[in-house]
Amino acid sequence: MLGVLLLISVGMYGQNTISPYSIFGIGEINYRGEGRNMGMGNSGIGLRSEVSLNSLNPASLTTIGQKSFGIDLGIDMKYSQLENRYKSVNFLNGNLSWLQIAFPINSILSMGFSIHPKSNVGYTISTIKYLEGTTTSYPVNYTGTGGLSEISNTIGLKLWKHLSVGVTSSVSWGQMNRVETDNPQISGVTSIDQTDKINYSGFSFKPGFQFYHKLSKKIDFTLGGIAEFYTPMNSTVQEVISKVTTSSSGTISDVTEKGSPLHLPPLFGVGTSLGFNGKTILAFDYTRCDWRNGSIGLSPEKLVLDNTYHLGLEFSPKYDAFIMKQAIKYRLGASYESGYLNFNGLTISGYSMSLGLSVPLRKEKSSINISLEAGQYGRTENQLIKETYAKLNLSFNLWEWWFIPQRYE
Amino acid sequence: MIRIISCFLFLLLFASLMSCKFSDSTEYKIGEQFVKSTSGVVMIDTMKNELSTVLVDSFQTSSTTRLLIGSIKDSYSGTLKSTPYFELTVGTYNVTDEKIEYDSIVFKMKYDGYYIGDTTKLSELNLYWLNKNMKLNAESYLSNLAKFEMKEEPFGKIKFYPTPHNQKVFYTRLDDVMGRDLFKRMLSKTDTLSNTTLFQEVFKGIAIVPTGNSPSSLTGISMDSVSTAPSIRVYFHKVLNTTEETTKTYYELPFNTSGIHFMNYERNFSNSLLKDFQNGTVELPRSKMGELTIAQSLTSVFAKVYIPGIRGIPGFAPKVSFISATLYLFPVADDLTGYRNLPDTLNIYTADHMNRIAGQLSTTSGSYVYATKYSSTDLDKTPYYAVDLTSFFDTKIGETSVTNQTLFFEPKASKMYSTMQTVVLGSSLSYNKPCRLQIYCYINHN
Repeated sequence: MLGVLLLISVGMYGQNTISPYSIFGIGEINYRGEGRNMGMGNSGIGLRSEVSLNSLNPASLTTIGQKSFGIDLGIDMKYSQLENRYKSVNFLNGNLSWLQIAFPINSILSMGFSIHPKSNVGYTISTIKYLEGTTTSYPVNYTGTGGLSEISNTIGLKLWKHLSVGVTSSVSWGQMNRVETDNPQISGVTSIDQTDKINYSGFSFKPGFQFYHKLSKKIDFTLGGIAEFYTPMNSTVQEVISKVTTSSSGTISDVTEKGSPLHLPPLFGVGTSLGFNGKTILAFDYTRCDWRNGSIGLSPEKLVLDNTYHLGLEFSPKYDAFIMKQAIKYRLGASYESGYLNFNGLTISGYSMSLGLSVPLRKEKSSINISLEAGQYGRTENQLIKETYAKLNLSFNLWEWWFIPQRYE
Repeated sequence: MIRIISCFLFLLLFASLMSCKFSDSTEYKIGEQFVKSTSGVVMIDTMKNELSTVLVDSFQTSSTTRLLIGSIKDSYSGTLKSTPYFELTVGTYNVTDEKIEYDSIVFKMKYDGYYIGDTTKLSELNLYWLNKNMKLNAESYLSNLAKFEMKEEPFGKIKFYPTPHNQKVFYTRLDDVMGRDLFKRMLSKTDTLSNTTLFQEVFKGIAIVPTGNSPSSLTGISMDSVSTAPSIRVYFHKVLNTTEETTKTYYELPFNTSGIHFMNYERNFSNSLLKDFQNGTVELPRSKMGELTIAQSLTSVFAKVYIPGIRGIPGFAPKVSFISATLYLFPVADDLTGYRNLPDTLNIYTADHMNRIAGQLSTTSGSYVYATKYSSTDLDKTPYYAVDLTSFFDTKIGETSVTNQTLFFEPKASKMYSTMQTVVLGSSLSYNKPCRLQIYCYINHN
């Protein structure tokens, strides 16, 4: 049943961006985190919770209680405004963000599966080209669509009462379509269209750990760490070139061949959190990804070291898990990304602020999480593009007892 | 568990409804500096091509819709004498007991309006009966080289100044001896005039042979219908009382529309630009003709363009896709008429390496391809011809072996093989070649 649901959900990923930055590599890479993380500035490497799944660190999966079964589903609604120095355009879209299930195997081992859009591609770029060997220019349009999906398996193992480890193994796959439309102003020829259908596939492996300890009766401390390694993203490219004339259109070339693999650099992250009285949690993450060691079809000087910082706060003013009004949790967060793209000395960086809310459902552990993130990415200098966005996320964190037989009297 | 799955299905449905997008613009036309394209359109105009002038020795001249009479001297192609051959058939006349008397016999022709040359010069023609009946060749046509034996003496001589503009009928009086003979046969109801077969046993056909040593002009004679085509008329009148008016009438031997007709062209290239054709050569590279190339209808002189590298286009680069090809031809102005008499279009034929014409160039959909005359954007509006050879290139690139890779150009005349038009190709002012081949390819350097 769940397998069928996963397959259905695979088909639900649609175009989720119109950012020209999505032309690079595998496109605009999606953040991997759940509703709680999004409300806390996308922090989570050092977070643990019995009532929330946290895919940012696989070691956190050991928090699942015995005989629990959890499902987490997130939906995004994102409003974007893209602008450069001359114009701007607005974009609104909604999409499934993740789907995740988790369950315990035994008292020390837990397992989870998830699926989510790994990246999105969606852009339309108009520019000019020159007829090779001449000074004659002609207009060219580039359109990109598609993206990658990722399905993951996570295993968490409690090694010691203060230490858990885990690993997430993921398979990524998907198709990106890039259409180049040349209008070379040749008599009788409307356009020359090159359609590249690029199918990518690859694996990633993300180990993580979490060390947790009560510093005092009221203060809980957690330290986490992750690393994510990628195998080369291999690709096959179907390149179809067609000629559109004033009277007909036809394929003049159709070639399928192996494409250049993409090399995504490893990502390393550490995170910590402090819990106070079980009511307030303060979390901080740092990740580092050296894109200079990667290869995504861009010249090396355009790739730089990417540092991200995430800060989050969760609090419940008068926490009582059995009184709904008092079990509501409020979240606040901020994040900053130094960026991995560099054009003419200008790095494409971004920052965001977030607010969140967790409303418990009637079941003891189930909840609805709402978060609102507002941020900015990019810049308008040097003909670059700035994206200002507001993203509303709604996630459903559902828990059920598992392997408990019904009793009838 | 059932409850949670039901809830989950509902959420999935909700999520699918959320999977939508809205944008106030379908295109966000910025970000060109992000594009690292390694492909694009390339224009190549340095592809090798060779021009020459080709003489096709023999070509069909039978079944044309015009007869050309006379001879002409052309500075490009020398002298051309046109001798039309055709057949007459029997006419109809019911001879009664009335008394009739012979008046005269005439040869009737009608101008169709076409001419070339100097019509102020006297044209001289002799009319001959043939000694033998004409026969088509094995391919059921007669060519410009065909000849049939004539009687030694002409049965009529025509001296006239052509007035083709008026497109009128003109008559030439013939020898009355022949006229009275025909009149006598008519009166006696001889078998000769009873049907075409018996008629042609005696009157086997006519040839109109230009005479005189000074070629003047070629004039078009109408063949549009029996009534306008050449014929012989025997005029007579009824003998009536002196108080009554004489009523003249005639017996006509009309043109045999179901018979054979063709034109023999006697060409002499001496003292012309194409003088080397006189010694048996059939192809002259432009280097031997002062960098000129000639295409002339009627004489079957073609401008030949040979493009040896078509099948090599896919080898220009690792990933090349052919887009289009256009050929430009640049005519030179005539000393007397400038560009005024240039034809609007040129016929194009494909030919093999032996200069054997395979057929008229056509697109894949079967429509003929022509070179069309345009005016350049230069101040002097110099004309040029352009032809889209994309379909031809597409075909040749896809072929596994070289076939018919040569193109022959010839002025498109309203009446093929009976209208002379000339195009001399030379170097344009802006492009120092008589021919420019412009090829567009899409090259992907990935």
